Amino acid sequence: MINPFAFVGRVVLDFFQTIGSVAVFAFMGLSHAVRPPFFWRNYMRHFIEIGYLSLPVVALTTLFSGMVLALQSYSGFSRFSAEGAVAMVVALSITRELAPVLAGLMVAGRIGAAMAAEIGTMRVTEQIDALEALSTNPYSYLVAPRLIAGILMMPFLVAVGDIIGVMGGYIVGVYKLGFNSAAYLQQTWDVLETEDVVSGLVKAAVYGFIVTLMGCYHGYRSTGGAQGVGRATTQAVVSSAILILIANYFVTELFFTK
Amino acid sequence: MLKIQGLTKSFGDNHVLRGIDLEIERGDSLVILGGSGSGKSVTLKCIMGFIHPDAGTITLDGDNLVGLEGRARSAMNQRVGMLFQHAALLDSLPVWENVMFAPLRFGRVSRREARKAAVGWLERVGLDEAIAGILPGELATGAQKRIGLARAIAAEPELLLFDEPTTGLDALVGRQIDALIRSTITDMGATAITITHDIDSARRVSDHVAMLYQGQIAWSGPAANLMQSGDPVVDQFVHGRLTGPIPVPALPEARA
Repeated sequence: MINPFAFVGRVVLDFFQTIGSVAVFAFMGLSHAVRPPFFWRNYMRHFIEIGYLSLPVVALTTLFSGMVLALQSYSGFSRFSAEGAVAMVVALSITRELAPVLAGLMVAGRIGAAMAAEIGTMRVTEQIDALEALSTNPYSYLVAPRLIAGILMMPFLVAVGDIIGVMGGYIVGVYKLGFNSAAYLQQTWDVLETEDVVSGLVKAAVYGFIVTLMGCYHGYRSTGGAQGVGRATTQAVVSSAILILIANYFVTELFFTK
Repeated sequence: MLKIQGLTKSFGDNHVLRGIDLEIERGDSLVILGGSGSGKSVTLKCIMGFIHPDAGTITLDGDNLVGLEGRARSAMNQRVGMLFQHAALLDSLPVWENVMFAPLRFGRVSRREARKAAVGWLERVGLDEAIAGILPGELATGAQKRIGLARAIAAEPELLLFDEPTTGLDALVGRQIDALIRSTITDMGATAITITHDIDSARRVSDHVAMLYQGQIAWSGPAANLMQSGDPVVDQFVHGRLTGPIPVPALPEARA
């Protein structure tokens, strides 16, 4: 018969063990990012992989989100004759919330999964052991470039997503809903404050760290061949998505609770 | 000289190594034979520092190999080259960068010099310059093993470790790999340890053989004596007998 106290105790211990393990992994990865050797080619590869090759998916996502947001807010606000607030709602929603969260989730699916699969495959095919045998620390070679690329490139992606998302709202607002072009842009410009954009970029950096950390961590610890790599990939995406949504609340509270 | 004394390692209740003692003279080639789960791979991983033994010492020319971390481990690993069971080439790098990974990593050569040197190492293991620029995943297993061997010797190590070098290869390619290993050991004067359960391969590459059974060295001696060792465990293993001290799981009887 299962002892309920033992069961709860085991679950709690496993939980804290996992947190500790992730924290140590993150510390190891970041500490190797600030001390030599630096594998610049790996840094460049991941900068391009995250910052450049993720652009189309983030651009499409934010473009259509901005368009939908303009349509929805227009239809909702027209019930109490507040159609004029569409530009404001689109600008604030995109910069503060939608661009960072959607970009984070899309990058988790695209990059987090790929990282977990690549590092997991390297683990089960002994490539990580081979790195150590070649006097190369896997944290320096594999983890640090990915973490730094995630932290630095996600804000860039979100900045682009901000512009494209707002333009999506503009396209629908001006060409479908009949707003005046200059007035729409002026309203957007007037409503946005530095804090709105900066909070989104800070969120992006946090999400970039979360996505790359989860991808590296689950890949690095994968065991058991192809099945283990598949499991690591799933865990990387699911844990990234959950942590992004949790972190979203805390970063929002940090910026907007007076 | 590589010296292993009292090497012990357990995983939970599974006592894999129970006090292994081995001495390998410089330039000597030792093959560790043993069945699956006998502790061969764990021994190799302890030497490479992938696994920390519970007890025991490993020294290379008097320098300790156990419990090294950071720069000390990195410095020691530069003295050791390893051919992995499935070559373990880095997927994302072309063949020449795999071969010259360590010299490039330590800035001993420019990329231009490294590419040129890689071609030399590839030729040494019987591969053509044409493959230097392609990714390892596009090559056959035998070619990958050769590249793995080229990578292991490119840093000109004092100690060479070979993990099941003929696994997954057909008999002809296996013989070629054995011949390459043998000539490499002789040419470089390096100390070598090979783990395998392939008796023919063991006889081709070894000067001495040690038989690992139940986490201990059951027998060791010159390779020439392997087939007439007089040890019941070795006899059963090398002749592939189903009866003897090594328990063999019974199979269900074949139906008519």
